[in-house]
Amino acid sequence: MTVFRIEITKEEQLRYISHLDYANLLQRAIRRAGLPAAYSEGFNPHMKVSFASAMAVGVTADAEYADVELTNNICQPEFFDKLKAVLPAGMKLLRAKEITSGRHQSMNALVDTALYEMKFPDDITADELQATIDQFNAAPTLIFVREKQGKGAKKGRIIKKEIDIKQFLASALTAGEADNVVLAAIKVSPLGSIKPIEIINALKINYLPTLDSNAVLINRKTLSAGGKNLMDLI
Amino acid sequence: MIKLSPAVLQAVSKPARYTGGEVNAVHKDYNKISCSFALSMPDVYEVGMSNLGLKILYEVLNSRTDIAAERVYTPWPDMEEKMRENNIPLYTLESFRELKEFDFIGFSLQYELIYTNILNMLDLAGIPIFSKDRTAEMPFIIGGGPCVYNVEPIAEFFDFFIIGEGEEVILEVADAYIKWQAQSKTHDRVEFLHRVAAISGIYVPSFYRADYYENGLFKGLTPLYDDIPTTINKRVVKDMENVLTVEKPIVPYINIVHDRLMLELFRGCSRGCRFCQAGIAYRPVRERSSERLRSLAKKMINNTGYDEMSLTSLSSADYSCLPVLIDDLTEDYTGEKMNFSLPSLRIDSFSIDIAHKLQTTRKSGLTFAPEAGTQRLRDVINKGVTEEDLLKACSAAFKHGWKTVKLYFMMGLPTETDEDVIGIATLAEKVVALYKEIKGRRDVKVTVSVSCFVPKPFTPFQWFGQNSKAEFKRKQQILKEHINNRAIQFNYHDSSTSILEGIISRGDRRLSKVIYRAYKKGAKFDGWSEMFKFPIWEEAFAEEGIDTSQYNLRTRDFDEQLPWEHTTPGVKKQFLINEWNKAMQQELTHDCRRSSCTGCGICQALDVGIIDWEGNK
Ligand code: SF4
Repeated sequence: MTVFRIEITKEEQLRYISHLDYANLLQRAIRRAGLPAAYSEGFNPHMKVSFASAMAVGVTADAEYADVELTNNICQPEFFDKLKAVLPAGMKLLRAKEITSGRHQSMNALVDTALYEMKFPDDITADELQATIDQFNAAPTLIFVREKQGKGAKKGRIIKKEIDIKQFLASALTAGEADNVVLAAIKVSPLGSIKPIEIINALKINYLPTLDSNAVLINRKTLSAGGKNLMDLI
Repeated sequence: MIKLSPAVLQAVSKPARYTGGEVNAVHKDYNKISCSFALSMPDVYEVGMSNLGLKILYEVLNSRTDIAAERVYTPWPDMEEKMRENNIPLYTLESFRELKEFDFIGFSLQYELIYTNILNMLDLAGIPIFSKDRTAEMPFIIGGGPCVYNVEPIAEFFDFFIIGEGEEVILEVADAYIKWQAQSKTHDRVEFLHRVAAISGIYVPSFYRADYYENGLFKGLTPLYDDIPTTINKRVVKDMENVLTVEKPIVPYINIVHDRLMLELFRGCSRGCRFCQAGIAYRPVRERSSERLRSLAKKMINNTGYDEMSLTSLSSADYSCLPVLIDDLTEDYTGEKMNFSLPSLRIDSFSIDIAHKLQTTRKSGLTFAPEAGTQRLRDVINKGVTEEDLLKACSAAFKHGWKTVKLYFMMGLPTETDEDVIGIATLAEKVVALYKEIKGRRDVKVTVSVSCFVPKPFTPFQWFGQNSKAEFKRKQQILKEHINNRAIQFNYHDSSTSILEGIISRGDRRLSKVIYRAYKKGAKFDGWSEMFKFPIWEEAFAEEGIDTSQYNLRTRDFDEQLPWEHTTPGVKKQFLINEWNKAMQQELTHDCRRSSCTGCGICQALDVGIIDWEGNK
C-alpha cells in the first residue's frame, strides 16, 4: 500500500462544480491514468481518496489537497506523470509526495487556516472598498444571521443563528495586491467556521448596500495547519 | 463569443450546466470548418447529456475535420430569466458562439412534452419560431429522434426532419450543404431544401400541403413539387458492426441522469408488443458482435475513467452473445471496480442470473414490466409473459437475495375491463406471498407503477381511442381500493400529461398553432410535473378552436387517412391491421428474431436484414 498526497488546483473552468463533482473528476482521472487505486470493502466500494476540505460551488483554489491510496507501490515520478497527463482543464497537479510515515493524520482534522481572496466587481470603487475594510476591522464584533433549513422535527422551518464573523478570522482583513481584492484569513476548526460568501454578505449588509454579492469572485489561496503547508507536514 | 459574468452564473442553480469545458468535449478550429451543427435535446443539461443518440451524432460529426458539432440544452427558468435580463442569446457549450451563427441546429425529439422548450430555445437564440419567417443567413432547424413518426404537430417550426437513424444520413446532409455553399449563387433556403429533400430519409414539411374535410378530419398530404416523394421511409444502419459510434463520450462535471457509459449491444426489438412504438420504429434487430462490443467497452472506459457501464438495448437480455460478452467484460475488469448493468430485464430466470452475476456489489431493486394484470390482457398486447414466468423470475430473484421488486403496468389498454385493473393488485399480492413462502419473512417491498396508456402512431393500437381523464381516474381509484397490503407501494400520477401526449402524438399540422399559443402563455418544461400546467393547454386548444377529442378519444377507422403516414418506419399498414385483429382475438404473434418472418414488411421495404449472431441470419 502506498499513499500519495497531492496538491492540485481548482481553476476558473471548475469554479461552479461542487465538492462531490470535483472529487468524482479526480477519481475518474485516476482511473484513466490506470493507477492502481485502492477501494474500500463492502457493498458499495469507493475509491480511497480523502480531501483536505470541501470546496463550495463558486470558489476556485490555488491549492487543494488529497491523499490517494494505491494498492501497489509505484514511484513518485511515474505517479506524477501519469496523473498529470489525464487531469481535466482547470485541475493542475502541482506536487505529489509519498506519505512515508506509517501513520498519517487525516488532513481534515489538521487544517486550521484558509486564506481567501475576494475580487469585488468594478462598480465598487477602491476607496469604498478600503473604507469597508477599515470599518470592518475597527468594529468589535460583526453579527451575521445564518439561515439553515431545519432538519428532523424542525423540518420545513428556517432556523436562524446569530454568529460573530470576527471570531472566525485569524487576522484583520487586508487589501490584496490586485485591484479590488480583499484578503481574509479564516480559522477552520471542528467547532465551525465561516464561509467567504458569508463575509461578503455581511459586508454588503453593513457597509456596501449596492454590492451584488454574486458578482464577487472567491479564490482560496492557501490552506494550512500550524502555519505550515500541508505538503510539508509529511 | 458569449462571456458569462459571475453575477449571472452565481445567481442560478447548478451553474456548471452552462459553462462547458468537460473532459472529451470537442473544440474545433473554425478556420477549417465548412459546416457546423448545434446539437440539442430541448431539456435541461442533465437530461440532454444522457441521450445516447446525441452522443453518437456528436462523435460521428466531429470525426470529420471539416465539420464542427457542439451542444446546447435548455436553460432552466432561473438561467433563462438571467439571459433575457442581460440580453444573452442562447449559445453552445464548446465555442460559446451564438446559436444563430451555426449552419444547422438539430433537436432530438424524445417526447412530445418538450416541444414548447424548442420554441423557447429558438426565441432565446433570436431565431424566428416559424420556419417560413427565417431568412437566408439563419441556421436550418432540423428534428430527429423517436417522435419523427408523427412530426405534423411541429411541422411549421422545422425546416426539415431526419426520419430514422441519423448517424449516416447526417453526414449526407452536411455534404449536401458544403456542396451547396460552394455552388449556389443565391444562397436561397428553398434551393437547399430541394437538394436535401432528395436525400433518402429527409422530410421537408413546407413542401407539402395538408387538406382537411369539412367535418374537420384529415384528408391528406400532397407534395407541392414533382421531385418530392409522397412517403419518406426511415433510414436504418445496415452494418451496425462497422458504423461509427461512441468511443470517447463527454464526461460531465456534474451528476447527470444516466451518469454511466452506454454500450449499445444491438438496435431493434422484434418481440412485437402491440402498444410499443419503439418495437416497430427500430426494426429489424441488428446486433453487434461481442468482439466489437468488448473493444468498444475498453475504449470507452479508457477514455473516460467511468466505473459504471450500462449494456443498453431495447431488450438487452435478448442479445444472443450476452453470456459470452459478460464473461469477457468481467474477465477484463476483475480486480478493478467496474459495474456493468442491464437497463431492462426480461421476465425469466436467465435474466435474473445475469443480473445476479453483474450486480455482485449492488443489490438495488429489480424492475419487471408485465404491463398488464391479467393473462387475457397480456395476450391482447402480445406481451408473451405468463404469471408463471413472473413468479419464477421473482422466485429466482428472492433466492439470490433481492427484496425489492418494481412492477410496471399500463392502464387504459384496448379491451381493458375492471377485472384487468384489479388483476394488477392480485399479481402484486402473489409476488408478496411468494417472498414469504421462500424466505419465511415479510420484509419484501413491491412497487407497482402504473402509467396511463398513450396510443402511438405506427403501432397496431394507432386507431384506438385513448381513455378519458375521468376513466383513468376511476380505474386508478379501483386499483387503489384493491391494494391493501403494506408491502405494496402503488405509484401513479395524474393523467393530464398522458392526455396531452395522447393528443399531440396523433395530432396533425393544425396543432402547431396550439403549441405556439401554449408556449406564448408560458408553457415550458411540460414533461416536468412541477412545471406542467394543463389549464394553459386547455385554454390554448380552446382559443384555436380545436376539439381535442378528435385526436385522442376517437377510435379511428382503418380506411381513414392518418396524418402521420408519410413519415414511416416502413411497416405495412395491413400488418398493423392484422395485429389489431389478432389482439381482439387474444392471439399471439411470435418473435421474428430467431424464427420465421411475421410479415411486418420492414426488411423488404428497406432492403435490410436481421443480424443475430446466434441465429446467424
Ligand atoms: S420483415 Fe419480417 S423479419 Fe423483418 S422485422 Fe418484420 S417481421 Fe421481422
